[in-house]
Amino acid sequence: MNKPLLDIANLRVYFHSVRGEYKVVDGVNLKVNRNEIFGLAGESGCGKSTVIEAIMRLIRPPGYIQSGQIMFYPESVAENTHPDGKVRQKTGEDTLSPDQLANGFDLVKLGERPLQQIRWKYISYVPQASMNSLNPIMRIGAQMIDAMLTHSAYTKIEAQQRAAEVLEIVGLPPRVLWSYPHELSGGMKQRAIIATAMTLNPQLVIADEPTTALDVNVQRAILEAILNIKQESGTTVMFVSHDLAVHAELVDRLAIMYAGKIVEVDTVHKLFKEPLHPYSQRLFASIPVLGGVRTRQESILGQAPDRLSWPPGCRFHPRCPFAMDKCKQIEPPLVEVEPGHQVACHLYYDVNTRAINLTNEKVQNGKLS
Amino acid sequence: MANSRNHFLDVQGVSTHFHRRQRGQPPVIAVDDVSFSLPSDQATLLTIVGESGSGKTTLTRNLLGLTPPTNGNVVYQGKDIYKMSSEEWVAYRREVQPVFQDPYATYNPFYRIDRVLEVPIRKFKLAKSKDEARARMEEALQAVDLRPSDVLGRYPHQLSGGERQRIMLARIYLIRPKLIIADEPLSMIDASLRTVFLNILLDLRDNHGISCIHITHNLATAYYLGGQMMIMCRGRVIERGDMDTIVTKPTHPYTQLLIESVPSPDPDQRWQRKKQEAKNLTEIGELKTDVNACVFTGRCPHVMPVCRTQRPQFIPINPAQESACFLYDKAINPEITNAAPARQASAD
Repeated sequence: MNKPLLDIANLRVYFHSVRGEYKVVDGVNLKVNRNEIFGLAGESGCGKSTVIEAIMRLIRPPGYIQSGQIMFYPESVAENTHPDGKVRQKTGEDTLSPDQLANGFDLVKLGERPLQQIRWKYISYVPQASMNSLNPIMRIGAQMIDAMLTHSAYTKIEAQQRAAEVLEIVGLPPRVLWSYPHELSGGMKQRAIIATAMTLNPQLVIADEPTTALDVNVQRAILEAILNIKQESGTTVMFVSHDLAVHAELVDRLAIMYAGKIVEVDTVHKLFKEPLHPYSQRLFASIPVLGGVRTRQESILGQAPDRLSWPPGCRFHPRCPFAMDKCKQIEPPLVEVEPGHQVACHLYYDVNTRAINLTNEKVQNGKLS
Repeated sequence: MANSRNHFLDVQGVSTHFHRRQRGQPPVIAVDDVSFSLPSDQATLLTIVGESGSGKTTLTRNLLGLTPPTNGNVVYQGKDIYKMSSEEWVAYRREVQPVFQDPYATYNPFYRIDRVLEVPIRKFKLAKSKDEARARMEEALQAVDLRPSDVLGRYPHQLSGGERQRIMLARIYLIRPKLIIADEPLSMIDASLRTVFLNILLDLRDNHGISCIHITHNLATAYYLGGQMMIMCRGRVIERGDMDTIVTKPTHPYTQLLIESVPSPDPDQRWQRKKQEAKNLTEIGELKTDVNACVFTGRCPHVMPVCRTQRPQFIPINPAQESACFLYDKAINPEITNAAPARQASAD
């Protein structure tokens, strides 16, 4: 199958409020390929977490998915089978049809029942500050088994064995199964959550800022646990973080998000070398380098735009050093300017003539080295 | 003490122990014999780096006079801060100002932001008239990149974390202390605002001569500030000296691990390549707080028998760096040539 695992098209998530509609995610297009670690970066408030919540269908009122589709193309057969060969799929009237599982389906259109079937088994989620989402009065093992029994046909004993297995993958001793959350450090709790997300061998694991507010040593252990998971079980990982250095260590492809839209996507290697979008250029130039030359950095000029009314045209134009007249009127589309490299900027793509121009002099000169 | 005249803050062997509730359990040693001093003739920036549980916050509280240390003294301009008269104490509270970790918890939600700035003006008699007070407040807010009209008259819940932390800095700017003690001031602020905050700290040092003790676990932001650095591990300072020297040539195995674990913003230099050697370091080993041993023995790759029976003292590595590690003690480890860097500076 050459289809991506996840294909988000024109996703819009709005939030009602007395002051009007907050367009938090406003036209996101993304493709996540199989067996890759896909990174999503951007400043806080740009809508990263909301995209993730939309994929998991966790948007709660006053938020709602205004439009768009999130196509998910699972690898159908193998995943419904337990390693012992028996099919362990709970079947019922309102579950997903084999046809849907084979040809993919739109997550936005699913009802609660099929969603329950999808969650954890196909797509699992490591929420932000997830170490605080463990139940303080349940042992870790009980919580892991709970999740497994809800979303699969595992028996209790199988679930317990599986729990011990995944704990090992993330580098935790089996005794953690019998621990209460308060007995573990923050990093261990975080890894226990990642292990829980792995229990049913999902095809997609979404981790939303799993290392924020942790020490560097612990952060490293967690990132290595995620890498391990990807390498050992071929899981696709979607990794959200505002920390570009973390992305550089971990991800294969990286998308930069700004003001509810994706502005640039490419492999992490190319993006770090040659960011094209002026926003990405600023973002990469502002990463602190340990041991490098110490220069005074200025933050990106101006304030992040208001989610109630995005600037017309390109949303970055009020802060962009290269802003032209058309940037203020026409919204640049996300266009593939070279193979695998998508960017939404008028500097590289002429909307009228559809010409791609990668050698824009202005940007070359303005590029922050 | 004679030499404490030259230091405006002198921390002498401060230890803080917390007793446990169960009888017979040894106390938790949060801060263990920490000594350092800040010179009085120039504004200095001292960064204290350590992982969580290393005693950074307890040390801050010792310095601010909030938690008396079990042993040792905090001497400010020749006087022990825990033995000051009330006037001296007021002066100390004026001259040493804190910035706390959580900007969401430092404000009283019932009062407008104005009050945060008005109270010190009133209390320390910084202005003669109401108009002057207002002018000083506006000046202070502008100094931290805030528009007075955006902020004054608002309640704390209407402001973002970054704005709240900057108001703490505006307050400090107003008071013009001699020393700022900032405990993880950046942990709750957005990445894009961090540089704004750090630039303000640099400006306060360079243009107003305000020293700063900056406590953090984030080496990358610490490096941006420069100045002096101390690395803490389990309550002890294990390496200290000039920031640039330590970051480029860390000597203590713990510092090496710490610096090595900072993600580098270069996809071509990933950890996997060095994974084998680093594997036992990232495993979370139990760290012992044995008074007569090095605190890092549980995780140290170079551990020697002496590390478990003696407490290492500071050994000068070069004029700008000291390390509390037996590896650099010529009597114990004669073949050591000074310091192998854990990671080449990845700037190029």
